[in-house]
Amino acid sequence: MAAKKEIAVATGLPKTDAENPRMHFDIYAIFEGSQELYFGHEVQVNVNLVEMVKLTTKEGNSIEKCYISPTKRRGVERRCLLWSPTKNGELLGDKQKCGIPKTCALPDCPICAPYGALDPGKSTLIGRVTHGGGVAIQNIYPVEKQRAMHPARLVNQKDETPIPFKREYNQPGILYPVYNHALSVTDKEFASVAYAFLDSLGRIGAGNPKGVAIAETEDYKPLLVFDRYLVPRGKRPIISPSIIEPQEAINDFLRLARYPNHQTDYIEQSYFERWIGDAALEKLQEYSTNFVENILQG
Amino acid sequence: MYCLKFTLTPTAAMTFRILPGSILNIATYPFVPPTTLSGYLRRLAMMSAGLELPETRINKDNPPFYTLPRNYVTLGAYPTSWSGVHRTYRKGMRDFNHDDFSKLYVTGKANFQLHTWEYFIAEELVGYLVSESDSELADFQDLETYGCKLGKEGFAVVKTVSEPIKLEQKTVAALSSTIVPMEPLLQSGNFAGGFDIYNLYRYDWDKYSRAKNILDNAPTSINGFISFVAAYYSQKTNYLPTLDYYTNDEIYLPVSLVNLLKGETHV
Repeated sequence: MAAKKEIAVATGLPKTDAENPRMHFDIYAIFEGSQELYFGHEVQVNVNLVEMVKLTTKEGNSIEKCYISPTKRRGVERRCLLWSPTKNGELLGDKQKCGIPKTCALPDCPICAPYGALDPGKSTLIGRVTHGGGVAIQNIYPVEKQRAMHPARLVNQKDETPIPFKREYNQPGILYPVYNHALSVTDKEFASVAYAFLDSLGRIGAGNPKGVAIAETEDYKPLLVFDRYLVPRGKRPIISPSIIEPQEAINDFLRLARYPNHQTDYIEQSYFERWIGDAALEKLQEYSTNFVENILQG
Repeated sequence: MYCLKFTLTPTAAMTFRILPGSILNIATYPFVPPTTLSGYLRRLAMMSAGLELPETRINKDNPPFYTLPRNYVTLGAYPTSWSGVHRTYRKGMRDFNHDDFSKLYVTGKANFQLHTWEYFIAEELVGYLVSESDSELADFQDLETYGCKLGKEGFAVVKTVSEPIKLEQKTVAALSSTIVPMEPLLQSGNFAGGFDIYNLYRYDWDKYSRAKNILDNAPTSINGFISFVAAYYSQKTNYLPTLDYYTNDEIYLPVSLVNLLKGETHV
């Protein structure tokens, strides 16, 4: 029995080589809700509530904040990839025969490889991208708005009265720190993640309106950090969910990104590279372009 | 007894599934269970040695375990400041043989089932690892700033790893830094409550297991899991249980938990 368990274990993934090694990647960003956003939670009688997170301490203090669930960002990103147009007019998901929940679960699928897949009873491909963050910085409550399903016709027909309901919205201007962590993926596989991260920005939120922006500092630098590494260095720009002052969060983000005292937007140490602000955006766009050239147009 | 104290910064909402559980109501422990912390630290150790993360195969293929060897006992990680369990409502899939959830043009009936799914969100977690010898704890210092997936859902980064802390065994009335196995708690006459009760799991160690290395990619010899019941003090309480602790008068680690997780006692 014991002998049977001592199988020499590999990762089960396709072999790669020194030209395309597996690395770790992290994206750290602060999003800004550009307008009202709806992230559905619970529906009470004629009121659609948004998702709120409540945190407490052992001493009994509590705060409540709006939330962009990492699972919802992940879902949008995966669909951005499935619906991305390829050279011959087909969408990538149709070309790969890959969907939700029926994934193709092939280790070389540009979607399943980083995002994971399940073919029940046959194969599991563990996702190597984890989505995090999403707890708002400001503790601003959502606002309820009156809505109604209006019929389209101008002359009222029988039984076509509008059904009134209320819907909560996360207010514009709220900041949300978010993180994408990719472990043991190749540069080629990470290209999908970079494309999906950037493409999903305009599509986050249920119904309409949709979309977030990467927030900027007072001097128009995007609050964005991108790491590619084998050994993590410096500090990670992670914002505590207990911080409620936007300026404090932004200062923390920049201080941690430049720790201990780097002045440049590109930091290189052994087995570690970091891009900050515009440099991070350009680097992610470079990966995203590689995805378009090699996968969509290739 | 020597102990390492790990300060972890979670970067994502986490789910540590309470089992047995319902498939429609996914519930989470409001702390990192001991076995979860063990697997997490082992993966960080593998990353720090430049190894790729292991792929886990599906259950029927007899998947390997990657945990810390038996000479290290992880006692779980617990929130120190702001935390909460966030209960969500989700539309999950009923079956996996269709792709309605990614269709832009959908015909026919919606094919989903409603779930509740709990996520544990915390600002900071403190985890404990004990060992009989302080020299065995040296490799863990290198794990600072490494991060990895933690739990069924979740990700956390190691903020700090303490120097080995020497602990003495004492019988005192104190609030435990970790969960406390239920049976010894009751046997020592601590009935007053103030805790929540959870069903948890510990490793069923293979008795021939001799592995001591954390920096290679050899699977750990474990036969499976054994359940136990534990108490968790989630709130401040005036009633402090009197127990045998390994302590430095700041950290209180129940001796009964260490013995149970080692497999030296059975309840």
